[in-house]
Amino acid sequence: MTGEDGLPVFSAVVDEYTDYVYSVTYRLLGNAQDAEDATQETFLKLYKTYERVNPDKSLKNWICTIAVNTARDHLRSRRREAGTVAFDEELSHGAVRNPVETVLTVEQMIESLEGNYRIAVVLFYMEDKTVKEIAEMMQRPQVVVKVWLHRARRMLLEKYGRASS
Amino acid sequence: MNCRKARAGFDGLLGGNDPHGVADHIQGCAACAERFVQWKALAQTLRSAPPVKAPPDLKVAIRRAVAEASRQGRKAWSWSLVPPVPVWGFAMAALVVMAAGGWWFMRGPATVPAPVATDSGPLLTIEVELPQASTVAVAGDFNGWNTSAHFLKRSETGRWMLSLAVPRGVHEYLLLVDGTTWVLDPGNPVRVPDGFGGYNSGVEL
Repeated sequence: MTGEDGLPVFSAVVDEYTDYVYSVTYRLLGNAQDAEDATQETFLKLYKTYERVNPDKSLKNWICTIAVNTARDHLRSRRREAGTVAFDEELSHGAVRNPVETVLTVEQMIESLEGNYRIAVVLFYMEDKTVKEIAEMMQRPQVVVKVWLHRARRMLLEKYGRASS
Repeated sequence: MNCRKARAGFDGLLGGNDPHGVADHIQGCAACAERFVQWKALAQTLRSAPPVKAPPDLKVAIRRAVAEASRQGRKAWSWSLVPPVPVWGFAMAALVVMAAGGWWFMRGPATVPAPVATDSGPLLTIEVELPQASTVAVAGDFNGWNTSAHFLKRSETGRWMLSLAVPRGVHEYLLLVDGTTWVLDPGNPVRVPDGFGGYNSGVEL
């Protein structure tokens, strides 16, 4: 159902994208409660800015951008609460946690990556976004996204490469 | 091509896009060939992960939160925000509700169970013709938009009915058919913007 402004009515947006937003935020945050909170916040933010959404652009990418930013805020506050280094892409270089697991799961792979590396991997490999789309969402040049992906790939290979072969 | 550049092109090779000759490099480099096999497996693991499904009640929680934000935005139920139905429509709805309530009390024992008396207060009576439906629930501000608190009862003729005591005042509600489809109360002509771009049924009791 589409309104006069060319956008779907908001109830239809909630129906269509709740699972999508939850899936993205769950993958970024790694637990159900945070994902539920982030999903709800995402739709509240979307609701408040809905009139400004450009109907000619991808609504899904717009929603995804809000979801990623919301999840990133959660990651930041989680780090603050844990008393660790503030989340920042410049500070997250080379950051790979080093739990020793023997059974490889997607959750473990994602969890082992910090900050923007995690976001880039989730969006590129799991949500099928292109480098260009990720760059637009994250407001970074495409080359930066490629660097994130390259480093994330190297980290994952160093950590899990042998387990996967 | 050196190993570093080759490894940066692994994803391109996996996607069938290899303008810089990563495949050629792998042919002659055992270390990169091994890395590529490992990455292929990891990338496959990532790409094949199914989406995570949201809990079933999350949509209701979102609707509730957005409706609340909408109400705070407009501060009060504004009559000017009811364009599809003129003021007489509201009066008519009130009459419909009152008449239905009166009918309910006068009709005596029948196939439909007794009215739900959750609390003292005026009765909101809903009666809809949905012979194909399996369940019909009413959710509104009077029950916290709970979709499993109040179900209409089905008569032998396929009509769904419920009479529910609600606090006196203005209320918004919707019917949830088969747990999946939200519909306006067809017996109530009053529609109120729900803040989502759609409408709720509205009634004053």
